[in-house]
Amino acid sequence: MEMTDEEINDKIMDMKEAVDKFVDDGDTVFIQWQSFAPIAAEHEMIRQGKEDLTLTSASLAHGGDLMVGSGCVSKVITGYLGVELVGLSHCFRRAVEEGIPQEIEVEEYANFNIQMMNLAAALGFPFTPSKNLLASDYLRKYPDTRRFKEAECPFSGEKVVLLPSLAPDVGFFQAQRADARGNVQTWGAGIEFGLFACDKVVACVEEICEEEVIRRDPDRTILPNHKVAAVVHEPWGGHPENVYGYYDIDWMWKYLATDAFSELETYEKFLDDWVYGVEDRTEYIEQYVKRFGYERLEKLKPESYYSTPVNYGYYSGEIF
Amino acid sequence: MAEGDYTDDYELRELMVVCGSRELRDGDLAIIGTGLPFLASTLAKRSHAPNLTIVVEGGQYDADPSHVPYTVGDSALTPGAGQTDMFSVAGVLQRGELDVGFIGGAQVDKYGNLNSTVIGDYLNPKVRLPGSGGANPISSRCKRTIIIMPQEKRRFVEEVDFITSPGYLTGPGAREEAGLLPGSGPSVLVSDMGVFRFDEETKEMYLDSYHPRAFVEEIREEVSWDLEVSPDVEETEKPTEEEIEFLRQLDSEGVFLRKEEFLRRLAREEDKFLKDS
Repeated sequence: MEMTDEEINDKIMDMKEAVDKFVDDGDTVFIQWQSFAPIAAEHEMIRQGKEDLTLTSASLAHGGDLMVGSGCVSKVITGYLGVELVGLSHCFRRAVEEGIPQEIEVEEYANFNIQMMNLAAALGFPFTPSKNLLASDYLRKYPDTRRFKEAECPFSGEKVVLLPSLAPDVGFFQAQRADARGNVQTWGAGIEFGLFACDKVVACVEEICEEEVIRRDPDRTILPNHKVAAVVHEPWGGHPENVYGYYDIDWMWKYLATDAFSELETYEKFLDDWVYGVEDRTEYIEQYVKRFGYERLEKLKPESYYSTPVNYGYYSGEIF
Repeated sequence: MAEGDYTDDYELRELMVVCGSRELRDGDLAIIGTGLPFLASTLAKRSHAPNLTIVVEGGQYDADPSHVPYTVGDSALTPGAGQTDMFSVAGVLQRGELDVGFIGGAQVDKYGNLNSTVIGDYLNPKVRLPGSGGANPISSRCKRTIIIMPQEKRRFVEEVDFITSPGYLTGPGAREEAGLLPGSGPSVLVSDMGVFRFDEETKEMYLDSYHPRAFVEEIREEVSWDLEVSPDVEETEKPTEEEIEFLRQLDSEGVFLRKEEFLRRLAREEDKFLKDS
């Protein structure tokens, strides 16, 4: 990606521009699941009417189901599609069982395998061996629906499964903070290798901070700026999922959404109301506050729970 | 535990948790999903297995959450835990370092093979289920697995529609032949009617104990194959007052133990959610 000095030093743009610029129809799009899920970005992809996307993540939860239902996804590569506590993925079920709104291709593995396939891509390798999937029907049946082979290790003779590497075109996640140059920091949950496997990443963040703040806490920089194409300042962009230290999962909202997804008619109402019916994330949050009150939103914020600051040390070099 | 401590005041879900908890050993490195397995492992840690280490697929080790986690990605799992990432958990699984994992499924057969992928034909399914998640690697690479699922004839089937998580496959030696972790496999299945184990020789599931108020013949009717019954079959050891009290405190919101009621509470502002509804 050729970039000017200005583009390198200031990657901040709004969600509309980032999605328009970096997601093309037909792309393979990686989305971080649950903690750090880029829900606001997913809403924008739907609003912009993206088509024929391949959606991938170790697990596709609420946001994945939402996108499948909207018709912008023609294929998923994943290990899980469900909403756990609050239910099944109703849009995914309608697509697979009834072809509504369109049939989708499902290339599935176990969730951990997606990580390994992403790691292979992040390392620039064409495939990775794995010791699970042996003996399951993932291996024995329907070979056309996924791309792996049983093999023997050329050194030890062990049976393994070879999985293809998985390199998405673009990745999205909702992180805590970044600087304008795209050095992104997260804490609280591990970030997947999916981000390193992508050609480029759009980092949606709760806060933009000075480069100095980022540089003073180097361990937390999980994605260096060369991978990051855009930084989008999008507070509450992960709602109804969680961003550590900022807000918890909104189970009430997620339950109501999952319940709405269970029927096509109410799913479409949901889209009209919460996705097409708002201009951007700011309006979405305004709508939330209008319907449920500011207190409900505030309730999602955790109490502060600090650790003692760590001392990285400052090294003058004068040790001789 | 003294006999006098046993109680009859419990729900079947609570008994299932207690049975699951008794299968965990002190010192186990255990991969735990949310729901009943988390309750079972926390109970074990607070009673007979203080050195149990709970590992969650999001990368948390030895989590000590402030409330029962509602999901494997729950915010409460991280503070107080050792936070690695999903990848490091994939590693301990691939290496065969985990002692035990909990899994469930929509269907199971007599060898403990589980299906959580589809009901019906894979390419044209009647019901599309969520898929493996972590279940396939857990069943393939943990030394032993604990299966928890409700007892129903349509779930305990001759042949599962799709093997998501391999049990003993076709019988003795089949796991090793396939390249799965040697000596591994399901060690127990806990249902809401009884506790089942797997025969050392044949690897076939048999009824080991029936829960209070369930009868052996009733259980056999809820299984599609001709279920073997242990000659020593007996009533499942009841939970103690202390165990039940602990569980009810741990899941004070009733998220898992009284799930239907909990979901109804989540729905209480339903009228505000969608315009015109």
